[in-house]
Amino acid sequence: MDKNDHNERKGLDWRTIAVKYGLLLIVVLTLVVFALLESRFYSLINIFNIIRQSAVYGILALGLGLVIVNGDFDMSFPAAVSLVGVTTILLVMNSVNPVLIFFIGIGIGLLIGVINALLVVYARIPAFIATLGVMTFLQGVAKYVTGGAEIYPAHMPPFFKLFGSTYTFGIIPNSVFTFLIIGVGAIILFDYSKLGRYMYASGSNPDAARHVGINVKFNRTLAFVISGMLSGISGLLLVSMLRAANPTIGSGYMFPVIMAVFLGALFLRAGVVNAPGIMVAAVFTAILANGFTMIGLPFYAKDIASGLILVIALLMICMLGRNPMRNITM
Amino acid sequence: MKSRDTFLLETKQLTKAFPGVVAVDNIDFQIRPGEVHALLGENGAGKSTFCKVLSGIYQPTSGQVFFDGHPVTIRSPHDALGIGLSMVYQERNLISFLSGAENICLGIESGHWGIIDKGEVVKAALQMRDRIEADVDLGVPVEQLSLSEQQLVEILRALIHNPKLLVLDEPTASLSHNSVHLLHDVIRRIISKGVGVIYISHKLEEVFEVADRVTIMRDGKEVITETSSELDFDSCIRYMTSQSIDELYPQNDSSSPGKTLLEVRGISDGHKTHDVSFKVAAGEIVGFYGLIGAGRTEVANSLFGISPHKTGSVILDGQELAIRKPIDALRHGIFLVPEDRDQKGLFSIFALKGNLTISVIRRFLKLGALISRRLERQVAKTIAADSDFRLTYSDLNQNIHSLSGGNRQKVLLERWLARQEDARIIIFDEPTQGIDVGVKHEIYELLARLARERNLGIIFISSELVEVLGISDRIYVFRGGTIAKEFLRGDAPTQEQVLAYAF
Repeated sequence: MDKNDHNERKGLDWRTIAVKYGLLLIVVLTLVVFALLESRFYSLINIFNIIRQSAVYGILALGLGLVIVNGDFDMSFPAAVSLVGVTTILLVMNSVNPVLIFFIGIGIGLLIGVINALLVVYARIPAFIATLGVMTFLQGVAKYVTGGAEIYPAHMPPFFKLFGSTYTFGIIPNSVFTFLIIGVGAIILFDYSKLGRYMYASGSNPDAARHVGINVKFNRTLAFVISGMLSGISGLLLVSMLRAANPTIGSGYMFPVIMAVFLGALFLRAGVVNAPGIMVAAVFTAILANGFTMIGLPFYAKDIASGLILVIALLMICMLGRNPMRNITM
Repeated sequence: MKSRDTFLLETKQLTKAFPGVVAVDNIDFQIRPGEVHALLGENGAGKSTFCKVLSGIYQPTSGQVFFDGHPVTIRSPHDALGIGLSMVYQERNLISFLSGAENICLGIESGHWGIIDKGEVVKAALQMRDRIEADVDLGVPVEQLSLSEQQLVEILRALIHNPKLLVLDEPTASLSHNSVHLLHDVIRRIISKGVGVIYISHKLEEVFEVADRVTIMRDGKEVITETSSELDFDSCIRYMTSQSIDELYPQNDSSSPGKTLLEVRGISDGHKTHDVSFKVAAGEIVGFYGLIGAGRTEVANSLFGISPHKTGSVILDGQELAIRKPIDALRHGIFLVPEDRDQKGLFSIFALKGNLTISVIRRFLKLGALISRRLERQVAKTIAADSDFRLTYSDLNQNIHSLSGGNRQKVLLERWLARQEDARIIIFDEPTQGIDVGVKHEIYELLARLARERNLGIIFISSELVEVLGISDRIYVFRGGTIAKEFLRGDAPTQEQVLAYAF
């Protein structure tokens, strides 16, 4: 058995390294390219802009990633972000206690997660369609409560600026800490907890998971609920940063978040959705979004590049012998 | 009838090997036009695999197929149809909301530029139906048809291609006695047109009724090919199961069984099983024998909480248990090693290590909650080095599917053996399916050791009668969702006696 040990420690051939750390390399290369093309790109302000943006991408992607680990999918998160965003701003405008608003925001996300779970896990509606329905419904509710308009309060209570737009030491945006705290929690859940291990098992082979005594339905439900709460937190974070909201504030997040999840599956663990991968990929996604705007490429370039990147990432996951969304019933 | 010397289809040394098992081993087989040639054997004997090689689903590892005297290479079912070989699979492949005629038409190109002339094909389907005098309404959705009528639609769908050879894989598996006779009448009319029929079954009476010749297979090999009139029930059983492997089974010291550990009284799952009662004593190996679908796995699933029982009671150590979920069963020490290790057992997302340790995560938690990778490695190593088995592997991080079938089965067994001190009853569902004799032997030894040394109650489910007879202290024969008969080792039942209750 000693030989096995030896193999595992020394067996880091180029392929393994490429698969494990390739994404990190690409992130660094992209940074260099953008920096060379546009000198403003690596100004401190811009770098923190990127990190602030990646916080929203990352938190949403960790939620979606958890749902995907359990073999499901969630399309409703962009609308959940919108609804939480406009509700929060409305309540701020009505001078409701900020702490209460904070919990209402997370509560709305939680409720959305419960609804998704009821439809997908218990009524057994395929996840894509069920959560698509929920998404459209929430979108409508968000439009109803605002009357469709952009809303912004005259004054944002300091509590709301705290986790989104206040700067620690006058320079580090607090949203970075929010992202890091949730990220560490996610890494513990995904990789270092029994629950996380059971969730990977549930998504990989629900039948076998049941035979090991894993409560598959409970895990899937919990994943939807956590994902919903993370959508709620993202909504709060977003309005904390923007100090305004409109009923489609979250809809731009659909694609970059999905991209971050699957791109992240190409980092550390070949072809398997994982938390550190998602976090790196979220930063990468934010760099792309920011960089493309800064270097002034034509308006269609970002879409073309993003689409290509997602498809290539999925292709690579499949080539690694993995199914990007195993067990999803369509 | 054509000349007896022309074979419609012939195979020479046809072999199909899968990792860890040779499913079809050097088969020389011939069938003549207008002949019904039965393939007989236990589950896993290689009958279906042989036919799937013929129909192009599998590619042979070696050997040659001749059709009408010419060597042929069949790369897909489409190729097979092209040369005149049609197969009806064991599993139903009908689209439930389409009519019989529409199902028959599926995949048939007729007319020009790929536009299907539906009327033409429907006419052909009806003609075919009348030619073989099959009594089935082709105008209604097939979901409104009975199972035997659906079977006829499947056969018509195969015949619409005007095959010279028709392969029927277990065509009567879901048919009632009467429908079987009707099906046989249809088969006789088909062969009267000069078509050859390969008829796969493990039901002896049927084979005698319809087949001209019989080839008996065991462990992938041809045991004998004989005119069916030359064979009888006894000789077939002997050929199917081979008696000369007594040394395969562990010695039984025939100590009297301990006190009753588990008593099951009249349980039903409200669906597939009804009124099942049995006992398992400490230190006893109890065999569940029966045909597939007779209710053995379903009863195991009820005991384990996968499909909880609706009526009746389960009593362990004199205490009635309410098992609603697998976790309840595990808490009471009832383990189940499921059949079909890939579908119900292994996690392809985990490497070998994660597959071994999924049942014992508690052992490598730090601070009561966090997984320690270092401890997990140690635990996995200990499990893999378990003295009961030699698991052959190169790396704990290797892909689980790179292991052979026998080794994958060992992984599944060891996952549960790692927790054997928590176990009272272990149910093994078809643990020896699709693995070679060497590993089978290890598994028999393991079951005996768990029973005798650890005094556990062992339930052993198998479709191979010889092994059930070989290692069980008590045998329950399942038929139609309930227990048809109990035999004790002291009864020394013969295979015929057991089989008589299984059919």
